[in-house]
Parts: sequence; structure tokens; C-alpha cells
Amino acid sequence: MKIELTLNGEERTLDIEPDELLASALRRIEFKGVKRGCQDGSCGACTVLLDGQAIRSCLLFAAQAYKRDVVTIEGLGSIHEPHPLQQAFVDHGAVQCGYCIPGTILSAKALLDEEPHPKRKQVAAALDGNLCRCTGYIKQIDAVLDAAERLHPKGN
Amino acid sequence: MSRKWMWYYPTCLEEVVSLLWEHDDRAVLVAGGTSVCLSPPPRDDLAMIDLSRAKLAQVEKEHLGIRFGAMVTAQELATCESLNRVGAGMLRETGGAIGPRPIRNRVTIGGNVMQAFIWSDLPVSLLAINTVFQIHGPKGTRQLAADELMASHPGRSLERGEVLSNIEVPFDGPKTAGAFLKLSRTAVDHALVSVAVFLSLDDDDQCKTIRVVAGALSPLPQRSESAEELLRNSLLQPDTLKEAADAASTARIINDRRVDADYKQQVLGVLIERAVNMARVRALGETS
Repeated sequence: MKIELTLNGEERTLDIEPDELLASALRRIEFKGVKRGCQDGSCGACTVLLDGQAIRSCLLFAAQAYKRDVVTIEGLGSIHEPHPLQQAFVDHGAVQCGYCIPGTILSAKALLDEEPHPKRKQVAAALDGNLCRCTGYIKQIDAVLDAAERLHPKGN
Repeated sequence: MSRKWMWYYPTCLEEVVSLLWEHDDRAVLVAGGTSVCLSPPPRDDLAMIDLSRAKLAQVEKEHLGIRFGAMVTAQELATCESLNRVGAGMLRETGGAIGPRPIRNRVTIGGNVMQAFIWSDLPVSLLAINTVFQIHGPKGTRQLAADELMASHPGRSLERGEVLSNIEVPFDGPKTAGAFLKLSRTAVDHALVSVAVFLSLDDDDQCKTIRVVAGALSPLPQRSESAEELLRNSLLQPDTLKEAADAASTARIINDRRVDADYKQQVLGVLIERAVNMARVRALGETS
């Protein structure tokens, strides 16, 4: 079946199977930044933005994305033009193996779109659904707070 | 090899009803999708009905209470300020306890109630408030109180073509409040044990009405009527709470591969004492 949607800012028509999960469809097309982890919604590695909200792409059928707006990590920034969140994660040493990072950054993006100046607790709560086995989370939270400042400097 | 499902995107409630009627046992309602993705019915010929465009997510504040569409999400409940006046915020607590943000963004009232997994949180609180559920079908709309809907698995209460469309919750009367508590392995995990309490106090601060519901012990949320009996007409002091917690320990607790029944029984008592006390403090208007 075919569905139209906006994917990383582009209007696209995708050929999908009716029972295909969004995570699988995205990876199949080209977006390997969407990771397969637990495949049951617990780990957050598959997190993408759907109409601006962080969701589990392993818990959504591709068909549900019909006429929706989907953003993966590839839609946020690139190696040549990183989004401030991506740059902040690098600057703070918040990336080790990197597997949880796309999902974590997208959860952070959703938070900052809603709350430009979050408190530390709010950042922790927003990232609560992104499990990381490497970093211990502290530097990730530091990075998000720093990115918030870069995106919306206080006093402006 | 993929299955030959057909997808439908109804834009109103009547269309949902019509699709349900037409496709009967091949019809699958897809709300958030979080549970149907993990265990779709084992058929090749399903009619998948995406509810997200059928305008079922409205929030209508009225004089006596609030009506929520069945597609309102856990996150929307968690952040709904008008719900501070329903059980003193217990539905905000409940919505906010349903997993991390990406899960709350998708879990819906309708999905959480109609799937009614053993760990589901909303059925517990909605039973405590004895919420009114609106069911819409080919013959129009009917209402079911939570006591009726949850006497058996909610799916059993719906006829062909029927869908849960709304819930209605009343604003609190004087000295009325509730609380929801949940124990889970991590802050964002499924409930191992949950408790919802909804009570009102009389002019002498005695407990006038009380409903105590336990979740995650057995397939459906259970009222703890023995606890309620001890608590009703009391001042809800610590001794009485302890007695009620002990009385509640006779609840039916089925085997759970995550933790054993003894542990759940102990935790149940603790959660009941805490939840009743929280509700009491809120009903008195004190800050807990």
C-alpha cells in the first residue's frame, strides 16, 4: 500500500506493507538512525518525532503515519551541519557507543520545542524513556541543558 | 510475507461505527497502537481502523465535570489542569504514571480501558471514581458505569459495531479527593501493584464515602470492599488504616512471573495506607 507523509521535511509517498512497523519502514528506506533495540517499546532506541511528539516507532504501524509529519535524527542535522543538540552531546562527551543517541536527542528535541528553558528534573523526565547502558545519563542531561541555552539564550 | 490487512482512516464517529459493523470480527480498532503492534490478532484479513482522525480526542469542560474523548492520551490527562478538581488530581497522577513520555504520548483512555491488561493503570482510577463510559453504536449512545464495564473484561460489554466514545468524570464535591499509587520496577515500568482511592469526608471529617481499588493483582481491577467497610465512617486514623490494609490482604492475587504473590500482598497493604492517607489530607485541603 502507499502512504503520503512528510518525512524529515519532505513530502513523500512510501510503499509499505500493511503490517510493517514504522521503525522497519524507516530503516528500510534509508534512515538507519532509527535503531532496533528491545522491539517492545521499553528502550527508546527507536524514538522518532510524530507531529512533533516523541514516540516509539517500534510501536506504530507505518500505515498510521499516513499524512503525518515524521522526523528522524537525520532530519535534525548532519555531520556537516549538526543541530545544536547534536553538537552539545559531542561537546559534553555524552556519546559513547552511540546506539541510544538518536532516540535520546529526539526526546530532547521534543522537550525543548515545548519547554525552551527546562529545569534539570524536566530534562531527566523527558529522557526517562531512553535507556543508555554507557554514559550514566549525567552528561546527556548536561548537554540538553547546554543546548537549550544555545538555542534560546536567556536574556533575549 | 506480509498480511493482507486493509487500513481505514475514518473522520467521524459514525464512520467508525459503520466500519465496525461492516467488518465485524475482522475489525481492529487502532488507537495509539502500542498494544496492537505487539500482538495483532492472528488473521491475514484484518480491517485496521485508525481512530486518530475521527475527532475522538476532545476535552469538554462542563458545569459538573469533564467529558474526555476516548482518544485523549495519558499525557493529555497528566497535564490537564481542570483535572485538579477531579479526585484532587488523581487522574493526572494516573496518566503521568503510564510509562515515559513517548508511551504517554500514544496511550489513550479508550485503549488503556478496553485492552485492560493486568498492569493497566487507568482502569484502576476510573473504577475508583466510578466513571461513566459512553458507548456509541448502531443504535445510538448508551452509558455504562465503571462498576458495570469492569465487572468483566471491558470488551465483553460491547456489542457488534459499538465503540467507547467518551468518559465523563465529575468535579469534586466538598471534602472530596483521591489518590493513585503504583509500584513498578523502575519509575516508568508497568505496575506490579497499584491502588486508587476516592473518598469524601463529612462535616466532622469522618469518611462518608470511599472506594478503594487495587490493580495488577488479577486480570481486572478489584474493589477492596473489606477495606472500604472498615474505613467508612471512621476518621481514617493510622490504626484504622492499618486494619484496612490487613483486611485488603485477602485480595485475589494471581501468579506473576515478575514478583510473587506474597510480595504483592505486602506492598498492597502499604499502598492502601498511603493512598488513603494522601486522599484524606487532600480532602481536608491540607498540603501533604
